Amino acid sequence: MSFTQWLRTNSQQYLLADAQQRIGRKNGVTVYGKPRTLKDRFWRYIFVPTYKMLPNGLRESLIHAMPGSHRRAWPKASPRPRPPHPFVKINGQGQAPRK
Amino acid sequence: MKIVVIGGGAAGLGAAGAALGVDPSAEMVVYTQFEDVAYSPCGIPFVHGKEIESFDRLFLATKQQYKDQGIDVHYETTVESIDTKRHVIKVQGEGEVRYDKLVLATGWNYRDPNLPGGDLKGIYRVKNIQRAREWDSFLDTVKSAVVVECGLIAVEMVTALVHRGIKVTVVDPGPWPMAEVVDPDIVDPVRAGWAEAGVTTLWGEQVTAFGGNGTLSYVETTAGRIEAELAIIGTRKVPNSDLARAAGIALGGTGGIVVDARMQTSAPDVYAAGDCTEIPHGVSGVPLQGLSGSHAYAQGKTAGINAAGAVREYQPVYVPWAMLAGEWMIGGVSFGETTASAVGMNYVAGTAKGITRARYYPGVKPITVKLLADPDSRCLIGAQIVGGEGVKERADFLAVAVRAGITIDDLATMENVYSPAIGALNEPIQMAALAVQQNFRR
Repeated sequence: MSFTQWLRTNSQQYLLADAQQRIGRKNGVTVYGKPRTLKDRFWRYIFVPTYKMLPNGLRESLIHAMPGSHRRAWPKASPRPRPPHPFVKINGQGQAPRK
Repeated sequence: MKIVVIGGGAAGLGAAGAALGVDPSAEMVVYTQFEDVAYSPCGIPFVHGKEIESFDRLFLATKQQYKDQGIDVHYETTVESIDTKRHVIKVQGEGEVRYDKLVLATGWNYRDPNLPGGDLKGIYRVKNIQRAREWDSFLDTVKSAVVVECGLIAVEMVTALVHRGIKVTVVDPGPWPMAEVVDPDIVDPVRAGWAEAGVTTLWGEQVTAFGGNGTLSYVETTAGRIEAELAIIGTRKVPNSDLARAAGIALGGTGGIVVDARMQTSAPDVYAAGDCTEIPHGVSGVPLQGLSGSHAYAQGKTAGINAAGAVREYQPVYVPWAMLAGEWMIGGVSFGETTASAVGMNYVAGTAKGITRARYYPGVKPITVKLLADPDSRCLIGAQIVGGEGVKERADFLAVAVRAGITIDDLATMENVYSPAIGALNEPIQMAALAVQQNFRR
């Protein structure tokens, strides 16, 4: 297993476990899963809080820096929010009202 | 031109057919290590559950039909290696075979739980149709089964085993079924349905060993020993990318083959499609692996068209999905609350409970829709749905909505079909969008 695979597998597992605990609690579901090993403790008590503390932009840059299909050529996403239909004029403007 | 495809699933046969559509003169060879090609493995649980009468119904076409189309399928044939520089593959029993264009569609495997006793008879990985035929007779002799981790096919197998009158125990380290993709409030009716059907569930527990004398007779778990003659492996899908790795083709963090929108790999004239690849998510950009058969088929067609010399681009994915889980249909698009929280994405969510037909019309079913919106742009970023019917259509629609950058305000003012037999006055998607708008104001 390459380093990036190892990182992806573990980060996904422990970030999900952390999210499951929070969302479970919010929905009245008891989530068991105390750390059983040293590895569990590292990922849950060091990696997950560190990841959550990172600013969004830095987090996205780090994810983007990992090798993978996302770094190859792909069509760009639609503009968000989407522009109004070209036939639509609201209040004399070519732009839909946004709240 | 000679196009070689490795793999005979939805992606492989999709690639072969699409390539011949572009260039009917191409020499098309497909290698598969299995006895059959292009059947629906996702249909296997429904044959086991007796909803479908025969495994033969799962095949998309006969072997003769592929021959007639000009696809030369080599069954039970293993490709041992790829030399991308010389444009040759080494095939067991055939030696070196040259290609002009190569499509890798090698599919997936269940993640190996790597447990003691894993070689005992009675441990079933639902995937191969010929093995499924053999297992189907075995199921008649089984009284008690353990499902080891509750992935999507395993969820369908729980229902199938219950239909066969088999006592089922689910052991999963996650806190609820399909916890990698579904939120607890959405899956709650499924849990309740299983409890009613007598399914024992051990969440947050793990299988530690299989035991028996040559044949499985018990399963050891962190919650104790369970007597069982059958264990269903329901661990997550991992890409079968060993051949690509050995050939020096780039793999991503998921272990899947790295591809671009034309499904081209890092090696010249080599394409890849289906579960052996990874595809970027349309909202987060994070590559995903292990999507559905419809994704594999569409990717295969894209790879085949490009391999044959035309141009088609695949898009980043928003992953609409839906399935039958007991008496319920469950599905979603893109993010749920759990997955959005896991990647650290901000969202505003709203949930609405509705009905699928006019309240007085026979067969009306409840349905719950949850929508997630981006707090800055107010665009839809995900959805989860559970109901008695109408889940697939809503998931498909919402996937287009996420992809197109539709806002929660658009959905809150959407028009909807009203016809007593097929649609209620209030569309649950619109009601959920109104709930999101309310939560924005808080």
